[in-house]
Amino acid sequence: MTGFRIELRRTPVRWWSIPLLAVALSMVLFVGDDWSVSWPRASAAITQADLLLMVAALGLTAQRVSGIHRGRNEEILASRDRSRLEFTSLAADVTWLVAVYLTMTGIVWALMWSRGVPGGPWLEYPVFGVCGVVFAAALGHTFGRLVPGRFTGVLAAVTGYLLFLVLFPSGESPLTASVGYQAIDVRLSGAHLGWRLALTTLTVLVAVGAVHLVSRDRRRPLTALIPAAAVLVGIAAMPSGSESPLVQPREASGRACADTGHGGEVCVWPEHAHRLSEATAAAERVGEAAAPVLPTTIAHREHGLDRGGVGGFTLDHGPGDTLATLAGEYVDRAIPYCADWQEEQWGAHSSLRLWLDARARGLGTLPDYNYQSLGASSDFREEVEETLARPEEEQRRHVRTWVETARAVTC
Amino acid sequence: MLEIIGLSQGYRRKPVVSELHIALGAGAFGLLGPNGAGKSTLLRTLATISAPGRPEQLRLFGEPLRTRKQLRAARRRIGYLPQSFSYPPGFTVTDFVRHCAWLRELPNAEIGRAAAEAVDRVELTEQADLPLRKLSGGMLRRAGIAQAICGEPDLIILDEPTNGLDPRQRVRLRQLLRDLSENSCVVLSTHLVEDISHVCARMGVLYEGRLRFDGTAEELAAMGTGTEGGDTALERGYTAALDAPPLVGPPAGDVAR
Repeated sequence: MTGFRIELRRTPVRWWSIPLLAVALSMVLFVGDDWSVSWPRASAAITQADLLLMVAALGLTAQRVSGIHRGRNEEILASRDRSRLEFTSLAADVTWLVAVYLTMTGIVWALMWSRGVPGGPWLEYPVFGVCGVVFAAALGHTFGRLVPGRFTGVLAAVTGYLLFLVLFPSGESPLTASVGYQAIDVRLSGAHLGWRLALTTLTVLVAVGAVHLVSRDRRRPLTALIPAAAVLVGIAAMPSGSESPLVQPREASGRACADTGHGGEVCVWPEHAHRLSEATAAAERVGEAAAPVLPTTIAHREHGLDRGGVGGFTLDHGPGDTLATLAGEYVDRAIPYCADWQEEQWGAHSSLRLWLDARARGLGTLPDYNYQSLGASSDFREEVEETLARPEEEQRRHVRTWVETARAVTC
Repeated sequence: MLEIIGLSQGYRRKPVVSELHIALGAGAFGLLGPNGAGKSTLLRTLATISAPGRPEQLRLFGEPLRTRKQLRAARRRIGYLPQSFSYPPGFTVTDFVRHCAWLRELPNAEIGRAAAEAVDRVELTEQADLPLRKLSGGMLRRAGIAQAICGEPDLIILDEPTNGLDPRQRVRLRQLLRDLSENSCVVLSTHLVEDISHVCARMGVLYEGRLRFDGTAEELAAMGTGTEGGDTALERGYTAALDAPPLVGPPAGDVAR
């Protein structure tokens, strides 16, 4: 521990820990959407600082290792295994960097606990983030050992930035620096996390063995070459591409449900239990708007809860989106899709969804919303807007014709 | 303690040291020779930084270094000051010496005391908390000596220890080396004949990778005939030794005290 304690006290990385913590916390607290609505989003939010911390880890460790005065100088005689010495030095750097990460994570979790949000932290996200920082630090250590120079740190940081953004894009690669938006119905892929852990371990082995490639005492070059080859093979073989996403649908361990007052029901993920009343109120508004033309005993489910991840409403994108997705789900449940439908039925179904969304919002016209994403053409929009402009009774009559049209073909 | 048996060493097929035979016990051995004579290469090999051509060419503490275990055990007992050494610039003198002691696997309980003692012996106590980057060349050299003598290893190898030291410090270093050589084998190289003559009971002259002289200061002085260059008998003897034929065969015995 003596060596570790000295390294810990003397590594220049320690001076960077406070500014890094400040910037990382700012990125998590002030950049992006409000993540404090649920533990899944809060857990994933800490990865917003991953790119910064990984690039910093790469640059700082590279600079620290290359900063040891060398030139034509010799290394001090050591009876300890050189790999162990490298490991001690890397461990000291990593300790400071991980301390930054864990402090930031602790602050985010403390905020969440203070707000009484149901559920608890998802540990795989800090593991994912810490793993990324260790991976980057090991990479930087190797870089600094192999390419020492005055600008090694900057060079390593720029290379790392490009590496993490281009070679390991978000949403696909286990080595990505960004998880992106965390929907409530998905969880980090265990396979990706496993690959990340394995590649990080191998990269640490490369880092601690790289000294054997450059020291005068080149007695054990394979110490670095074998894990380096394994890292390259691992990167080539790791899951990547759109068919192996970083996040996977998850199973619900439970649900929070409430009646809508019209015989219907609303269920949300347990982590959204505190937002159940919000969802129920929105569902009641949709139910009231639909009552004259559609049944009111609809069982609403939050997206991903049951039904294999298909359909459902969402709570994460604001009240407008919640109403729109509830209206869509309402129509989908009342008049299920049929493969035999013709354009007429599809049109009626889409019109119903648009109309119900507008009515639930209490608007006499269509809301400002991207209806193209719902598959609604401009023809349907015009027809729905015309219908919304009609008197109440006439409007209901017209909407019932859409219902009849859609139900005319059943499967 | 140290036995060199027909050691040959070189880089990129260029021989630097050839057919050396030296056996040393406790005491001080001074290695003289002009630039490029192979002194640093020889000391690096003795310090186990460079591997000898064949393991049996170097025996340390009674055994050749065939395995990593043997190498590691030997290194625990060696203190080595390279001609110039790498160091983390942010380390203080104390941390540097402690760190080097830790590298040599001194027991943790002894590191603090041994480091403080070594720093004190090279008279850097007042600078103990200064970062290495703020030290003068001479102070940095003394910090290097401190790490080499920390814990009083059995074999102390010093490559040009007096470089950058002022005359007063050189005198004090000589006394320190005399003290250390009471119990340890001290091997030092220098260009300065007078440094060695005051410290080492035995000395060698290396030239073009071959040992030209191995004996006492008096024997070296006696080699001079008066026609060689040099202001003192020892310098004239040194100059004469450079022209002498290489010594061949095993040494006559251990170092004379």
